[in-house]
Amino acid sequence: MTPRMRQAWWAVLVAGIAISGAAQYVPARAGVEGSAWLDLAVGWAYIAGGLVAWARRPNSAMGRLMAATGFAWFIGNFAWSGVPLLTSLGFGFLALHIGMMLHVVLAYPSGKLQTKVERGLFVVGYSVIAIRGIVAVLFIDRDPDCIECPRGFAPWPSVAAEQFFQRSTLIFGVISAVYFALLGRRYVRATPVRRRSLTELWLAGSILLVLSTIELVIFSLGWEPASDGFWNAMTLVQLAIPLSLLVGLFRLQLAKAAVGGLAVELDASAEPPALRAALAHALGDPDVDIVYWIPEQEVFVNEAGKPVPTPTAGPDRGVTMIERRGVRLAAILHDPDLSDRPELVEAAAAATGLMLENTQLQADLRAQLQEVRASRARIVEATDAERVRIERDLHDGAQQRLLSIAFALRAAQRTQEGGNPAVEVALRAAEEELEVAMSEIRELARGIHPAILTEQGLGPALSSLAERAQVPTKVRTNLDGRLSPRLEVTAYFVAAEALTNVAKHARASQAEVIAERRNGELVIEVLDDGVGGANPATGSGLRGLTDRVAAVGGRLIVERSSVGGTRVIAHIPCA
Amino acid sequence: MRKTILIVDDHPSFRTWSRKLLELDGFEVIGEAADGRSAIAAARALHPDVVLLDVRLPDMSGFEVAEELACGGQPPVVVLTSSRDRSEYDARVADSAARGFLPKHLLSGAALAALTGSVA
Repeated sequence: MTPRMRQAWWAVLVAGIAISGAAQYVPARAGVEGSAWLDLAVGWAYIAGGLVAWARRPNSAMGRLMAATGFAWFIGNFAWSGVPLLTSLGFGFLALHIGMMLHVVLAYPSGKLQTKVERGLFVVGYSVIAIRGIVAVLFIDRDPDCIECPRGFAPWPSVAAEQFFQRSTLIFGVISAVYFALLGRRYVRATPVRRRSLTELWLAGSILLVLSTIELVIFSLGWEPASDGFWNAMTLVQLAIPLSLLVGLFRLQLAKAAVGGLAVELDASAEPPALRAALAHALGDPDVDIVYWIPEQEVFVNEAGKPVPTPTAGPDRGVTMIERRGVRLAAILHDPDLSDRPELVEAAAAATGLMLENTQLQADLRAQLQEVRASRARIVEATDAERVRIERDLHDGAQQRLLSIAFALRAAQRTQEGGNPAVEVALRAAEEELEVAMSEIRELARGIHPAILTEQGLGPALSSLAERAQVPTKVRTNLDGRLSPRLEVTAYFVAAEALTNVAKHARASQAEVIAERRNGELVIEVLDDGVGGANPATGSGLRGLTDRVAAVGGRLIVERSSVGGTRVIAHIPCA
Repeated sequence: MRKTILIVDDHPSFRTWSRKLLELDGFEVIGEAADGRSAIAAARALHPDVVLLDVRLPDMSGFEVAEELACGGQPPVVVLTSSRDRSEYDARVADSAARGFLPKHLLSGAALAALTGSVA
């Protein structure tokens, strides 16, 4: 609070005491019956509540609006003053406090009306109240509803003005209907937190609306209640509004107590979802979320360790940054209404402090794991790219040169035919040696990376693999079109390595390779009818395959097949 | 009359040495091309009996070149070749417009004649 604001606050307090005192003195002197205590209770509930809210949140208009409502409450009492102008103001502005009370209900908790329709409605409402007040001061010499009341100011008394004053209350009926619809819309659209905290207030507002509509519209048409019950109900509901705001404050204290229990509820070994659930319960916000700060990478990550954008507050979401010993730890994403209660969110964060630190460490580990996974995938990808390059180099370089030499030898043989037999023998021997060398290079190149896989895709590559397999092998696929190179290469090497194992160890009479898309995965399966007993823990080939499949986020299973041999299955996610 | 042949391969050493070998084996090499587009142009201009066509060319695949050549009038007999293994291409060769596939390391006039035997 600025010093100037503090002065204004004290001035309102003093004025409140003075006006409420005068407001009790005036009707008492005129001999009016009625409970002064109840009257004071309602007026001061608003003034005091407003002053408390003003002190707590000096920048919010809510406190000032509430205090002003308390002042408006006392205006009506001055109709008994006998001072003509005060009397006119008293009955002329009698409806003002009801308008302001409804304003408080709709504007809570920010103190501001939110939509153009809401603002427009109150501009119309206050304008009607002001016009009626001015008409009363200038043209109506006595409150039409109060024959025994003293005379007012009214320099130009007019019967027409009096009729206008009474009939104009019908406009309040229309305004009330619109207000009720706006309140209903607020309720339906409210977040769970807001709805829970504002239900009593909105209920009191609705009842006040109904009663005041009855008072202003029906009574002005001449009907009068037989007993005081109506007026008592009206006063009680007017009192209920500031009281329900106080209940809201009290509930905040209760919520803080619940938050204190969080630390007991959670032990350090609790998993992140348990922390989130406990926070959601303590804050009364089922959608609460926590993101963790990873200082090394300067990013926020979610529970799974996946980086997320830095959270920012908006109309749908509040954000509270949590620090510990001056170091940023996490951010709690919550209902925007909880932004009005930072002390509650901070208390919750403090209660879960150790747990939050543990979870942040876990999130940090998960983030590192994510990074390791990503780098492993990148390494495999780079290795694959390198294999493609080496295969091309072998094909375009060494193989072409050896071919040229083979052709040169063949040409020499042709020209030597019928010549020196020793030279012919030597040429043939050289050509045979060369043939072996080229064959070895072809095999080597294909083992490094089969060109058919790049050029024609997984299906043809598997067929080609099966054709060359030492054990008769069938291929079954249901793949349409091409898959990503990453998937194709991984699947191919699973099949190639598994078939190599079949040839080396299985003593099988036949094998089968199946490649299918199933539920968003590429499933590659190699079965044989051999002796079984393959174990990824002992065989380096299967171990390498397990790593390779894991690098693309998949999993490799080695088990006994139904026909007795080995079944190798790789599940590779397509996305 | 000797069979005329067009050699299509992006490796100059292959073109040079296969030309020598095939000429020694009785073919008349009437042209060479280093990519798919110039191969199609040369085949249309020279009308060879046989086109020896590498599977992998810089601008298009040998299969695509074979398709294009088959569409023209008096299409030549196309024999695909590669230094890679036959098993890598068998299925595609069977579906293609080419007469057959001859691995480069087995290239000779006799092997080519066996594949293109019915060519006049």
